[in-house]
Amino acid sequence: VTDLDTLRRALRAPGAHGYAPEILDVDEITTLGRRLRRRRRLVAAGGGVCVAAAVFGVATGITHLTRPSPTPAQYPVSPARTAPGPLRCHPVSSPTGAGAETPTAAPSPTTPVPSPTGAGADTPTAIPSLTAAVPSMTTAVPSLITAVPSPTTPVPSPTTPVPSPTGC
Amino acid sequence: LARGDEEFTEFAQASYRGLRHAAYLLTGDRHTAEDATQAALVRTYAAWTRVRRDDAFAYARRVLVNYVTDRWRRRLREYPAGDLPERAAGPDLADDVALRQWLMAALAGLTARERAVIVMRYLFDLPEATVARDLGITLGTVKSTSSRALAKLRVSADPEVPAIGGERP
Repeated sequence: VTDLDTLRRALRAPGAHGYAPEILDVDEITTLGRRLRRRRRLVAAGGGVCVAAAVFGVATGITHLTRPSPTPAQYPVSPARTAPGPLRCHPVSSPTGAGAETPTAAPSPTTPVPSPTGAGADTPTAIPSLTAAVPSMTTAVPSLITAVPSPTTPVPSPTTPVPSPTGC
Repeated sequence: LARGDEEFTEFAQASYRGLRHAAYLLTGDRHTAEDATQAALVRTYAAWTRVRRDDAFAYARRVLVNYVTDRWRRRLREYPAGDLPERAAGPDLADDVALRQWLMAALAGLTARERAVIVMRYLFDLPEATVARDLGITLGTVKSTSSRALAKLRVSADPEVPAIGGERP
């Protein structure tokens, strides 16, 4: 008998379970096994979905990066970008609705604008054109105010024609 | 029951005793061994359609050893609470199991991997290559671990018990 045979004999001797009854619940084992199998399948399916989404995202990104960039002529060009002015301001519309005569906030530098005082006619500035739009507003307001009858003013009779707010 | 379930029932009833004994040698605790055996059978059933054509007992044995090893690793991060675990060797055991008493006390001094190597090598009589494959370690690690475990068993051997693993100094 060698020493390793002694070890083998000791390992194979009946242990604490040698005379104990076997408590083997196969139904519980199969139930837990089915649950574990179902969980593993769900995890595998979820992993597959994640991998597919990652592959799709990578492919889309690569396609987007490797696509040739369009030439500048293919870009839609807005009218404001065709001739950009030196000063970008929103045009002020007149309350009177006279859009045809709305002064441009950014006059062309080549167009000389006469100053109100007449001096410095050779110096084009954007300020006179902006201030030119303001009088149309200020002139419209008094006409509106005058349309509202004041308490001291006698109320016109219904037969009296109401003056136009614009004074026309 | 389906045919696969009937086959698994026969397999579980036939292999339960051997797996439980191996689990007891690996854990040193009766209740833990029963839990480990049941967990191994549950995992074997979960993969039964795949392992039924192969060596199902080898799969269950591998699952059992790895389950016990993982459980031992998890226990390192746990704090002891409640009752103390059951002692491997009690003072009132019969004389005919004195050898087993010494063995359980000696196995308790080994690491989980050393116990796994000893059990797989000398209880299941598996070759070193199979032990290495089942435990996921190299052949050299199996040899060194086995040699180290035998040396520990030799040191802890009772004077009345024959020397383990070679000549005693």
